Amino acid sequence: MIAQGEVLARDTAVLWRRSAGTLLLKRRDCPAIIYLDETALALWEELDRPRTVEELALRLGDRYSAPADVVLADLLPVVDELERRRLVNRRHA
Amino acid sequence: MSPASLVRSVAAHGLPGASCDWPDKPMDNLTWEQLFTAVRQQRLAGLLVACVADGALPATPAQRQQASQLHFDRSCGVLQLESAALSAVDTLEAADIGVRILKGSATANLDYTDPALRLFVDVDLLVRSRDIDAAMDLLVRSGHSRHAIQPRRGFDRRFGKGATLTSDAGQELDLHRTFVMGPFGLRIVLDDLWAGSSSFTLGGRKVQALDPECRFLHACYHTALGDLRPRLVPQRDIAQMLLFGQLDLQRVDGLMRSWRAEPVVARAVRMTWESFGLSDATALSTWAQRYRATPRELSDLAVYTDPASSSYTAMSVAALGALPSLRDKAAFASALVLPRRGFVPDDGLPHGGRWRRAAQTALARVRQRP
Repeated sequence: MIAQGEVLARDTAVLWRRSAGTLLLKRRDCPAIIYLDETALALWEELDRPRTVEELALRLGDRYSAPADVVLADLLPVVDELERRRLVNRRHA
Repeated sequence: MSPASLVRSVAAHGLPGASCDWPDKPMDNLTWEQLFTAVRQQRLAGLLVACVADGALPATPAQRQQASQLHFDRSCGVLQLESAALSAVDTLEAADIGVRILKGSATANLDYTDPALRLFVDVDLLVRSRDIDAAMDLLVRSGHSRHAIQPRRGFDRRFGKGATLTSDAGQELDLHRTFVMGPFGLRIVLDDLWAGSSSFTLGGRKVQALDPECRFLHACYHTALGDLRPRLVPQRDIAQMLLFGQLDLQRVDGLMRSWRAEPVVARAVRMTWESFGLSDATALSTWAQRYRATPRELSDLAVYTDPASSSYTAMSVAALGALPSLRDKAAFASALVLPRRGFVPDDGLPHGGRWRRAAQTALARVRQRP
Protein backbone atom coordinates (compact mmCIF):
# COMPACT_ATOMS: atom_id res chain seq x y z
CA MET A 1 0.00 0.00 0.00
CA ILE A 2 1.37 3.39 -0.99
CA ALA A 3 2.45 5.54 1.93
CA GLN A 4 1.95 9.19 2.64
CA GLY A 5 4.36 11.43 0.79
CA GLU A 6 5.39 8.80 -1.75
CA VAL A 7 5.39 9.96 -5.34
CA LEU A 8 3.49 8.05 -7.96
CA ALA A 9 4.37 8.10 -11.68
CA ARG A 10 3.26 6.36 -14.86
CA ASP A 11 5.57 3.54 -15.80
CA THR A 12 7.50 4.66 -18.85
CA ALA A 13 7.02 1.33 -20.63
CA VAL A 14 3.26 1.84 -20.87
CA LEU A 15 1.31 2.83 -23.99
CA TRP A 16 -2.20 4.11 -23.41
CA ARG A 17 -5.35 5.44 -25.02
CA ARG A 18 -8.71 6.62 -23.76
CA SER A 19 -11.84 5.18 -25.31
CA ALA A 20 -15.38 6.16 -24.27
CA GLY A 21 -14.53 6.71 -20.62
CA THR A 22 -12.28 3.64 -20.45
CA LEU A 23 -8.53 3.65 -19.98
CA LEU A 24 -6.68 1.21 -22.26
CA LEU A 25 -3.11 0.34 -21.32
CA LYS A 26 -0.43 -1.91 -22.72
CA ARG A 27 3.00 -2.54 -21.35
CA ARG A 28 5.60 -2.80 -24.12
CA ASP A 29 6.86 -6.13 -22.76
CA CYS A 30 3.43 -7.73 -22.48
CA PRO A 31 0.95 -8.56 -25.27
CA ALA A 32 -2.18 -8.04 -23.19
CA ILE A 33 -4.27 -4.88 -23.25
CA ILE A 34 -5.61 -3.84 -19.85
CA TYR A 35 -8.74 -1.76 -19.64
CA LEU A 36 -9.81 0.13 -16.56
CA ASP A 37 -12.76 2.27 -15.64
CA GLU A 38 -13.34 6.01 -15.40
CA THR A 39 -11.80 6.31 -11.94
CA ALA A 40 -8.54 4.85 -13.18
CA LEU A 41 -8.74 7.04 -16.30
CA ALA A 42 -9.15 10.16 -14.17
CA LEU A 43 -6.22 9.12 -12.01
CA TRP A 44 -4.09 8.34 -15.06
CA GLU A 45 -4.83 11.74 -16.59
CA GLU A 46 -3.74 13.46 -13.37
CA LEU A 47 -0.47 11.53 -13.56
CA ASP A 48 0.65 13.59 -16.52
CA ARG A 49 3.57 14.23 -14.23
CA PRO A 50 4.67 12.47 -11.01
CA ARG A 51 2.53 13.40 -8.01
CA THR A 52 2.07 12.36 -4.39
CA VAL A 53 -1.09 10.46 -3.62
CA GLU A 54 -2.27 13.37 -1.45
CA GLU A 55 -1.86 15.75 -4.38
CA LEU A 56 -3.81 13.35 -6.57
CA ALA A 57 -6.62 13.21 -4.03
CA LEU A 58 -6.80 17.01 -3.90
CA ARG A 59 -6.85 17.36 -7.68
CA LEU A 60 -9.45 14.65 -8.16
CA GLY A 61 -11.48 16.09 -5.31
CA ASP A 62 -11.55 19.44 -7.13
CA ARG A 63 -12.44 17.73 -10.37
CA TYR A 64 -15.36 15.82 -8.92
CA SER A 65 -16.31 18.28 -6.14
CA ALA A 66 -15.65 15.64 -3.47
CA PRO A 67 -13.73 15.85 -0.17
CA ALA A 68 -10.08 14.91 -0.58
CA ASP A 69 -10.16 12.38 2.28
CA VAL A 70 -13.09 10.54 0.65
CA VAL A 71 -11.30 10.56 -2.70
CA LEU A 72 -8.11 9.30 -1.08
CA ALA A 73 -9.89 6.31 0.45
CA ASP A 74 -11.32 5.42 -2.97
CA LEU A 75 -8.03 6.04 -4.70
CA LEU A 76 -5.73 3.79 -2.71
CA PRO A 77 -7.09 0.45 -4.01
CA VAL A 78 -6.92 1.78 -7.59
CA VAL A 79 -3.32 2.83 -7.08
CA ASP A 80 -2.48 -0.59 -5.64
CA GLU A 81 -4.06 -2.30 -8.65
CA LEU A 82 -2.14 -0.11 -11.10
CA GLU A 83 1.06 -0.82 -9.25
CA ARG A 84 0.38 -4.56 -9.13
CA ARG A 85 0.02 -4.52 -12.91
CA ARG A 86 3.28 -2.53 -13.24
CA LEU A 87 1.49 0.39 -14.84
CA VAL A 88 2.63 2.90 -12.24
CA ASN A 89 5.56 2.95 -9.88
CA ARG A 90 6.37 4.86 -6.77
CA ARG A 91 9.33 6.54 -5.22
CA HIS A 92 9.97 8.58 -2.14
CA ALA A 93 9.45 12.34 -2.50
CA MET B 1 -29.39 12.54 -46.05
CA SER B 2 -27.32 9.77 -47.62
CA PRO B 3 -24.78 7.56 -45.83
CA ALA B 4 -22.08 9.14 -48.04
CA SER B 5 -23.04 12.62 -46.86
CA LEU B 6 -23.24 11.45 -43.23
CA VAL B 7 -19.83 9.80 -43.27
CA ARG B 8 -18.30 12.99 -44.75
CA SER B 9 -19.91 14.94 -41.92
CA VAL B 10 -18.35 12.52 -39.41
CA ALA B 11 -14.93 13.01 -41.03
CA ALA B 12 -15.39 16.79 -40.93
CA HIS B 13 -16.60 16.98 -37.32
CA GLY B 14 -14.90 19.82 -35.49
CA LEU B 15 -13.48 21.54 -38.58
CA PRO B 16 -14.36 25.25 -38.65
CA GLY B 17 -16.48 26.17 -41.64
CA ALA B 18 -17.28 22.55 -42.54
CA SER B 19 -20.62 21.85 -44.12
CA CYS B 20 -22.02 19.04 -41.95
CA ASP B 21 -25.28 17.29 -42.61
CA TRP B 22 -26.76 16.02 -39.35
CA PRO B 23 -30.16 14.46 -38.69
CA ASP B 24 -32.23 16.03 -35.95
CA LYS B 25 -33.11 12.69 -34.35
CA PRO B 26 -31.50 9.23 -34.19
CA MET B 27 -31.40 7.39 -37.51
CA ASP B 28 -33.42 4.30 -38.28
CA ASN B 29 -31.43 1.09 -37.96
CA LEU B 30 -30.91 0.61 -41.69
CA THR B 31 -29.42 4.07 -42.19
CA TRP B 32 -27.31 3.69 -39.05
CA GLU B 33 -25.93 0.34 -40.28
CA GLN B 34 -25.02 1.92 -43.63
CA LEU B 35 -23.26 4.79 -41.85
CA PHE B 36 -21.55 2.40 -39.42
CA THR B 37 -20.24 0.25 -42.28
CA ALA B 38 -18.88 3.33 -44.04
CA VAL B 39 -17.26 4.58 -40.81
CA ARG B 40 -15.62 1.20 -40.31
CA GLN B 41 -14.31 1.12 -43.89
CA GLN B 42 -13.02 4.68 -43.63
CA ARG B 43 -11.47 4.10 -40.17
CA LEU B 44 -13.38 7.01 -38.64
CA ALA B 45 -14.45 5.42 -35.34
CA GLY B 46 -12.67 8.10 -33.32
CA LEU B 47 -14.58 10.92 -34.96
CA LEU B 48 -17.85 8.95 -34.86
CA VAL B 49 -17.74 8.62 -31.07
CA ALA B 50 -16.81 12.31 -30.84
CA CYS B 51 -19.84 13.29 -32.98
CA VAL B 52 -22.12 11.24 -30.76
CA ALA B 53 -20.53 12.41 -27.48
CA ASP B 54 -20.68 16.06 -28.56
CA GLY B 55 -24.36 15.76 -29.46
CA ALA B 56 -23.81 16.55 -33.14
CA LEU B 57 -25.09 13.14 -34.21
CA PRO B 58 -28.18 11.99 -32.30
CA ALA B 59 -27.98 8.29 -31.47
CA THR B 60 -29.99 5.69 -29.60
CA PRO B 61 -28.29 3.99 -26.61
CA ALA B 62 -27.70 0.90 -28.77
CA GLN B 63 -26.12 2.96 -31.56
CA ARG B 64 -23.97 4.82 -29.05
CA GLN B 65 -22.82 1.51 -27.55
CA GLN B 66 -22.01 0.11 -31.01
CA ALA B 67 -19.90 3.17 -31.85
CA SER B 68 -18.09 2.95 -28.49
CA GLN B 69 -17.39 -0.75 -28.97
CA LEU B 70 -15.91 -0.14 -32.43
CA HIS B 71 -13.67 2.61 -31.05
CA PHE B 72 -12.61 0.38 -28.15
CA ASP B 73 -11.70 -2.49 -30.49
CA ARG B 74 -9.78 -0.21 -32.87
CA SER B 75 -7.98 1.52 -30.00
CA CYS B 76 -6.75 -1.85 -28.73
CA GLY B 77 -5.36 -2.44 -32.21
CA VAL B 78 -3.66 0.96 -32.15
CA LEU B 79 -1.85 0.12 -28.91
CA GLN B 80 -0.56 -3.13 -30.42
CA LEU B 81 0.65 -1.22 -33.48
CA GLU B 82 2.41 1.45 -31.43
CA SER B 83 4.13 -1.27 -29.44
CA ALA B 84 5.24 -2.90 -32.69
CA ALA B 85 6.41 0.47 -34.03
CA LEU B 86 8.53 1.07 -30.93
CA SER B 87 10.12 -2.37 -31.25
CA ALA B 88 11.00 -1.68 -34.89
CA VAL B 89 12.36 1.78 -34.03
CA ASP B 90 14.47 0.27 -31.22
CA THR B 91 15.86 -2.36 -33.62
CA LEU B 92 16.80 0.21 -36.27
CA GLU B 93 18.17 2.89 -33.97
CA ALA B 94 20.29 0.32 -32.12
CA ALA B 95 22.03 -0.20 -35.49
CA ASP B 96 22.43 3.58 -35.96
CA ILE B 97 19.74 3.71 -38.63
CA GLY B 98 17.77 6.94 -38.46
CA VAL B 99 14.02 6.44 -38.59
CA ARG B 100 10.91 8.62 -38.72
CA ILE B 101 7.44 7.42 -37.80
CA LEU B 102 5.07 8.36 -40.63
CA LYS B 103 1.29 8.96 -40.77
CA GLY B 104 -0.85 7.10 -38.19
CA SER B 105 0.80 7.38 -34.81
CA ALA B 106 2.76 10.53 -35.69
CA THR B 107 -0.28 12.39 -37.02
CA ALA B 108 -2.49 11.25 -34.14
CA ASN B 109 -0.03 12.43 -31.50
CA LEU B 110 1.22 15.61 -33.18
CA ASP B 111 -1.70 17.01 -35.19
CA TYR B 112 -4.80 16.10 -33.17
CA THR B 113 -5.57 17.48 -29.71
CA ASP B 114 -6.75 14.00 -28.69
CA PRO B 115 -4.94 11.05 -30.33
CA ALA B 116 -8.08 8.97 -29.71
CA LEU B 117 -9.72 10.79 -32.64
CA ARG B 118 -7.23 9.47 -35.18
CA LEU B 119 -7.04 5.70 -35.59
CA PHE B 120 -4.81 3.70 -37.91
CA VAL B 121 -4.29 0.12 -39.01
CA ASP B 122 -0.60 -0.19 -39.78
CA VAL B 123 2.83 1.17 -39.01
CA ASP B 124 4.73 3.33 -41.50
CA LEU B 125 8.40 4.07 -40.99
CA LEU B 126 10.82 6.12 -43.11
CA VAL B 127 14.52 5.39 -43.43
CA ARG B 128 17.17 6.90 -45.69
CA SER B 129 17.77 5.32 -49.08
CA ARG B 130 21.27 4.23 -48.13
CA ASP B 131 19.87 2.38 -45.08
CA ILE B 132 16.87 0.63 -46.60
CA ASP B 133 18.57 -2.66 -47.43
CA ALA B 134 20.15 -2.90 -43.98
CA ALA B 135 16.86 -1.88 -42.33
CA MET B 136 14.98 -4.53 -44.26
CA ASP B 137 17.53 -7.21 -43.29
CA LEU B 138 17.37 -6.21 -39.62
CA LEU B 139 13.58 -6.30 -39.51
CA VAL B 140 13.47 -9.68 -41.26
CA ARG B 141 16.01 -11.04 -38.74
CA SER B 142 13.88 -9.67 -35.89
CA GLY B 143 10.90 -11.73 -37.00
CA HIS B 144 9.25 -9.75 -39.82
CA SER B 145 8.52 -11.28 -43.19
CA ARG B 146 8.68 -9.34 -46.43
CA HIS B 147 5.69 -9.52 -48.78
CA ALA B 148 7.58 -9.26 -52.07
CA ILE B 149 11.24 -9.31 -53.01
CA GLN B 150 12.77 -6.42 -54.92
CA PRO B 151 13.28 -6.96 -58.67
CA ARG B 152 17.04 -6.75 -58.23
CA ARG B 153 19.27 -6.04 -55.26
CA GLY B 154 19.60 -2.27 -54.99
CA PHE B 155 16.25 -1.51 -56.64
CA ASP B 156 14.62 -0.45 -53.35
CA ARG B 157 17.54 1.84 -52.51
CA ARG B 158 17.57 3.59 -55.90
CA PHE B 159 14.01 3.51 -57.19
CA GLY B 160 11.49 1.92 -54.86
CA LYS B 161 9.00 3.42 -52.44
CA GLY B 162 9.89 0.76 -49.92
CA ALA B 163 8.35 -2.52 -48.97
CA THR B 164 5.67 -4.04 -46.78
CA LEU B 165 6.53 -6.45 -44.01
CA THR B 166 4.45 -8.37 -41.52
CA SER B 167 5.53 -8.86 -37.92
CA ASP B 168 5.38 -12.27 -36.29
CA ALA B 169 2.30 -10.97 -34.45
CA GLY B 170 0.59 -10.18 -37.76
CA GLN B 171 0.97 -6.40 -37.80
CA GLU B 172 1.70 -4.73 -41.12
CA LEU B 173 4.76 -2.50 -41.28
CA ASP B 174 5.46 -0.36 -44.34
CA LEU B 175 9.11 0.59 -44.59
CA HIS B 176 9.55 3.64 -46.82
CA ARG B 177 12.37 5.55 -48.36
CA THR B 178 9.95 7.91 -50.16
CA PHE B 179 6.23 8.64 -49.99
CA VAL B 180 4.90 6.88 -53.09
CA MET B 181 6.17 4.77 -55.94
CA GLY B 182 6.36 6.10 -59.49
CA PRO B 183 7.14 9.55 -60.87
CA PHE B 184 5.93 11.68 -57.97
CA GLY B 185 7.84 9.59 -55.43
CA LEU B 186 11.02 9.76 -57.48
CA ARG B 187 10.88 13.56 -57.69
CA ILE B 188 10.85 14.10 -53.93
CA VAL B 189 14.20 15.48 -52.76
CA LEU B 190 14.65 12.90 -50.05
CA ASP B 191 17.24 14.92 -48.09
CA ASP B 192 14.42 17.43 -47.42
CA LEU B 193 12.62 14.78 -45.37
CA TRP B 194 15.61 14.56 -43.02
CA ALA B 195 16.36 18.27 -42.71
CA GLY B 196 14.11 18.65 -39.66
CA SER B 197 11.86 16.59 -37.43
CA SER B 198 9.15 16.68 -34.80
CA SER B 199 9.32 14.51 -31.72
CA PHE B 200 6.65 12.97 -29.52
CA THR B 201 6.59 10.53 -26.66
CA LEU B 202 5.37 7.01 -27.06
CA GLY B 203 5.52 4.58 -24.16
CA GLY B 204 7.90 6.89 -22.33
CA ARG B 205 10.27 6.97 -25.29
CA LYS B 206 10.96 10.00 -27.46
CA VAL B 207 10.47 9.15 -31.12
CA GLN B 208 10.88 11.20 -34.29
CA ALA B 209 8.42 12.11 -37.01
CA LEU B 210 8.65 14.36 -40.04
CA ASP B 211 8.55 18.09 -39.45
CA PRO B 212 5.10 19.73 -39.82
CA GLU B 213 5.54 20.84 -43.43
CA CYS B 214 6.72 17.41 -44.61
CA ARG B 215 3.91 15.74 -42.66
CA PHE B 216 1.44 17.99 -44.44
CA LEU B 217 2.94 17.18 -47.84
CA HIS B 218 2.86 13.48 -47.03
CA ALA B 219 -0.85 13.78 -46.22
CA CYS B 220 -1.30 15.44 -49.63
CA TYR B 221 0.52 12.59 -51.40
CA HIS B 222 -1.54 10.05 -49.48
CA THR B 223 -4.80 11.80 -50.35
CA ALA B 224 -4.05 12.55 -54.00
CA LEU B 225 -2.18 9.39 -54.94
CA GLY B 226 -2.65 6.76 -52.26
CA ASP B 227 -5.91 5.12 -53.31
CA LEU B 228 -7.99 4.96 -56.46
CA ARG B 229 -10.94 5.98 -54.27
CA PRO B 230 -9.44 8.66 -52.01
CA ARG B 231 -10.02 8.04 -48.33
CA LEU B 232 -11.43 10.57 -45.92
CA VAL B 233 -8.86 10.17 -43.12
CA PRO B 234 -5.90 11.71 -45.01
CA GLN B 235 -8.22 14.50 -46.18
CA ARG B 236 -9.15 15.14 -42.56
CA ASP B 237 -5.41 15.20 -41.75
CA ILE B 238 -4.87 17.89 -44.42
CA ALA B 239 -7.70 20.05 -43.07
CA GLN B 240 -6.55 19.48 -39.49
CA MET B 241 -3.00 20.58 -40.29
CA LEU B 242 -4.02 23.58 -42.42
CA LEU B 243 -6.75 24.88 -40.12
CA PHE B 244 -5.26 24.09 -36.70
CA GLY B 245 -1.54 23.66 -37.32
CA GLN B 246 1.27 26.19 -37.50
CA LEU B 247 2.56 25.42 -40.97
CA ASP B 248 5.26 27.54 -42.55
CA LEU B 249 3.44 27.97 -45.86
CA GLN B 250 6.46 29.53 -47.47
CA ARG B 251 8.40 26.36 -46.73
CA VAL B 252 5.51 24.22 -47.99
CA ASP B 253 5.58 26.22 -51.21
CA GLY B 254 9.34 25.85 -51.59
CA LEU B 255 9.30 22.10 -51.01
CA MET B 256 6.31 21.62 -53.29
CA ARG B 257 8.02 23.41 -56.16
CA SER B 258 11.34 21.70 -55.58
CA TRP B 259 9.60 18.30 -55.69
CA ARG B 260 7.37 19.34 -58.65
CA ALA B 261 4.47 18.34 -56.44
CA GLU B 262 2.11 21.18 -57.35
CA PRO B 263 -0.46 18.91 -59.06
CA VAL B 264 -0.40 16.55 -56.07
CA VAL B 265 -0.93 19.27 -53.47
CA ALA B 266 -3.53 21.08 -55.58
CA ARG B 267 -5.54 17.88 -56.11
CA ALA B 268 -5.33 16.93 -52.43
CA VAL B 269 -6.30 20.32 -51.01
CA ARG B 270 -9.05 20.89 -53.58
CA MET B 271 -10.46 17.41 -52.85
CA THR B 272 -10.36 18.07 -49.10
CA TRP B 273 -12.15 21.42 -49.36
CA GLU B 274 -14.81 19.91 -51.64
CA SER B 275 -15.30 16.76 -49.55
CA PHE B 276 -15.94 18.72 -46.37
CA GLY B 277 -17.63 21.76 -47.91
CA LEU B 278 -15.15 24.01 -46.11
CA SER B 279 -16.07 27.66 -46.36
CA ASP B 280 -12.89 28.98 -44.70
CA ALA B 281 -10.46 29.81 -47.48
CA THR B 282 -6.74 29.73 -46.84
CA ALA B 283 -4.00 30.96 -49.15
CA LEU B 284 -3.26 27.36 -50.09
CA SER B 285 -6.88 26.35 -50.67
CA THR B 286 -7.38 29.42 -52.88
CA TRP B 287 -4.24 28.54 -54.86
CA ALA B 288 -5.39 24.89 -55.17
CA GLN B 289 -8.76 25.90 -56.60
CA ARG B 290 -7.05 27.96 -59.29
CA TYR B 291 -4.24 25.55 -60.16
CA ARG B 292 -4.39 23.99 -63.62
CA ALA B 293 -2.17 20.97 -64.21
CA THR B 294 -0.18 20.70 -67.44
CA PRO B 295 -0.88 17.79 -69.81
CA ARG B 296 2.28 16.06 -68.60
CA GLU B 297 1.23 16.48 -64.96
CA LEU B 298 -2.23 15.13 -65.76
CA SER B 299 -0.65 12.15 -67.45
CA ASP B 300 1.52 11.47 -64.40
CA LEU B 301 -1.46 11.84 -62.07
CA ALA B 302 -3.49 9.42 -64.15
CA VAL B 303 -1.21 6.47 -63.40
CA TYR B 304 -2.23 6.85 -59.76
CA THR B 305 -5.83 7.99 -60.08
CA ASP B 306 -7.43 6.71 -63.26
CA PRO B 307 -8.49 3.02 -63.13
CA ALA B 308 -8.14 2.82 -66.90
CA SER B 309 -4.56 4.15 -66.80
CA SER B 310 -3.21 2.85 -63.52
CA SER B 311 -1.22 -0.37 -63.57
CA TYR B 312 2.21 -1.44 -62.50
CA THR B 313 3.28 -1.18 -66.15
CA ALA B 314 1.96 2.35 -66.57
CA MET B 315 3.48 3.40 -63.24
CA SER B 316 6.85 1.98 -64.30
CA VAL B 317 6.82 3.70 -67.68
CA ALA B 318 5.87 7.01 -66.06
CA ALA B 319 8.61 6.53 -63.48
CA LEU B 320 11.15 6.25 -66.30
CA GLY B 321 10.29 9.79 -67.31
CA ALA B 322 11.04 11.04 -63.81
CA LEU B 323 14.48 9.50 -63.53
CA PRO B 324 17.22 12.10 -64.00
CA SER B 325 19.82 10.21 -66.02
CA LEU B 326 19.98 7.70 -68.85
CA ARG B 327 22.01 5.43 -66.61
CA ASP B 328 19.21 5.45 -64.02
CA LYS B 329 16.58 4.86 -66.70
CA ALA B 330 18.51 1.89 -68.11
CA ALA B 331 19.08 0.37 -64.67
CA PHE B 332 15.40 0.82 -63.76
CA ALA B 333 14.09 -0.68 -66.98
CA SER B 334 16.59 -3.55 -66.91
CA ALA B 335 15.56 -4.48 -63.38
CA LEU B 336 11.93 -4.76 -64.44
CA VAL B 337 12.55 -6.48 -67.76
CA LEU B 338 15.00 -8.97 -66.27
CA PRO B 339 14.13 -9.25 -62.61
CA ARG B 340 15.51 -11.94 -60.40
CA ARG B 341 13.59 -15.18 -59.98
CA GLY B 342 10.58 -14.94 -57.73
CA PHE B 343 9.82 -11.27 -58.33
CA VAL B 344 6.15 -10.58 -59.02
CA PRO B 345 5.05 -6.98 -59.70
CA ASP B 346 2.14 -5.51 -57.77
CA ASP B 347 -0.41 -6.23 -60.50
CA GLY B 348 0.19 -9.94 -59.97
CA LEU B 349 1.36 -10.71 -63.47
CA PRO B 350 4.22 -13.22 -63.32
CA HIS B 351 7.59 -12.92 -64.96
CA GLY B 352 6.68 -12.02 -68.56
CA GLY B 353 3.35 -10.59 -69.68
CA ARG B 354 2.03 -7.19 -70.59
CA TRP B 355 4.13 -5.24 -68.07
CA ARG B 356 7.32 -6.83 -69.33
CA ARG B 357 6.55 -5.98 -72.96
CA ALA B 358 5.79 -2.38 -71.99
CA ALA B 359 9.01 -2.13 -69.99
CA GLN B 360 10.91 -3.65 -72.89
CA THR B 361 9.40 -1.01 -75.18
CA ALA B 362 10.42 1.69 -72.74
CA LEU B 363 13.94 0.27 -72.50
CA ALA B 364 14.19 0.25 -76.28
CA ARG B 365 13.19 3.93 -76.31
CA VAL B 366 15.92 4.71 -73.77
CA ARG B 367 18.56 2.90 -75.83
CA GLN B 368 17.49 4.73 -79.02
CA ARG B 369 17.99 8.21 -77.56
CA PRO B 370 21.16 9.91 -78.77
